[in-house]
Amino acid sequence: MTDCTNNDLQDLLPEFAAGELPARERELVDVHLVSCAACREEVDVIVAVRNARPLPPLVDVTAIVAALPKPPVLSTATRDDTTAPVLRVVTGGQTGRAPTMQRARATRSVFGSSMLKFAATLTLVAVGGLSVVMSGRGPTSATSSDVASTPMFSGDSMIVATLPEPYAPDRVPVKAVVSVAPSVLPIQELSDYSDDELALLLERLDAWDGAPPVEPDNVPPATIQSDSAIQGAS
Amino acid sequence: MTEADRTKDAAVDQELIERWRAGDERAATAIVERHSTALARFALSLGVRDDLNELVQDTFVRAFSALDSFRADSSLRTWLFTIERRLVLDRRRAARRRPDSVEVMPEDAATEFHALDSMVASETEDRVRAALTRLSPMQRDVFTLRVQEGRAYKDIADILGTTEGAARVHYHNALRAVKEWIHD
Repeated sequence: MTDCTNNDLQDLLPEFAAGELPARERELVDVHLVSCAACREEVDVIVAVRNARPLPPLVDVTAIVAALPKPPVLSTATRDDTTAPVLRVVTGGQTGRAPTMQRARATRSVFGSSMLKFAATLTLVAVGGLSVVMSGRGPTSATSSDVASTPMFSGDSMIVATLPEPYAPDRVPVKAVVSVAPSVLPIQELSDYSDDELALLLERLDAWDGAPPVEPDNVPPATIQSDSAIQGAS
Repeated sequence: MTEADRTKDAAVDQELIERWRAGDERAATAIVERHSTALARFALSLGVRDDLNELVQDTFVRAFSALDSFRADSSLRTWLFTIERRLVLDRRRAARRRPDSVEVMPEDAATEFHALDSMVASETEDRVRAALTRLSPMQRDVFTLRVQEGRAYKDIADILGTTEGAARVHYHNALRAVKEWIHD
């Protein structure tokens, strides 16, 4: 059996014994078996082992399928969104016109760093707001009506969290939505900001840089309210 | 199974997976129908006798839960076999940790099968089954995957966590041993 040196043909013997070889390869094996006693013996053993193969019990396909998780598409669509708290980043701008990061090529180098700062700050604000909500230190001070009535300036952002009642502060999944609030001032592309506006924006960004001066524990709703305060100041 | 068959099978499985990901739940049924019998048979060859349906179900549940991690480097069936074997090993480890349980080794299970089926099996089949129980677990797994399931050495190596070369050696050693024991 091990005397055969034709490893390629020997590798085909299980498939040959199972009758799963294509006609051409089957013919090759047939010819080889005429002259190779070792391989003939091997085929006999394989056939005997296959015949001794235990019959598997019937498997309950229906029960298995019923236990399977839903496809990702369906599980997303059927999620109960009505009970999920909503975290929104509201940015000042024109109604129906999303803020855009597109700028004229000529101004890119001038405003590149400010745009990055703006994006980084937006992320920080979102993450910070998220942590405030997740830590369950109380509901935010802004309501949807506040959002609608609060005048928003270009570049202003605020986090608005809407929590279901009752909500479990320790386990609050949050859906984040970026939307454009009805605004008093029209939103502009970054390239359209005046130098003064950009300077004001940068000033605010600088003020937000780094760690907060006090521990977040001491300022539960302040993150949300700070925008209103800034708006009032400006 | 030839390379062409394997490629065709892989394409069918991949299409079913894509359909399931897109929300077609019937694709899951098709996948289960395609592979459940082979999984049950492989479980038997691993010495599983109790809760075989549950084992097959757990295998599919685990596979579908992690379908995003299936990269199609191997065939779906190979991947399912790998998952099922891990589950079997986990169960055996858990049973070993339970002080009041009696561990059932693959050899014992195979003997039980032998006892149940010997009344209707031919003498040669009895001898073959007895011979299989005398192989080492690795030899038996390699041998049954190659002969009874028609898996390629590469697949076998993936399933058992060994190399293709080692799988070949185990197969030929097992074949030689089975042949001798059958003819004794």
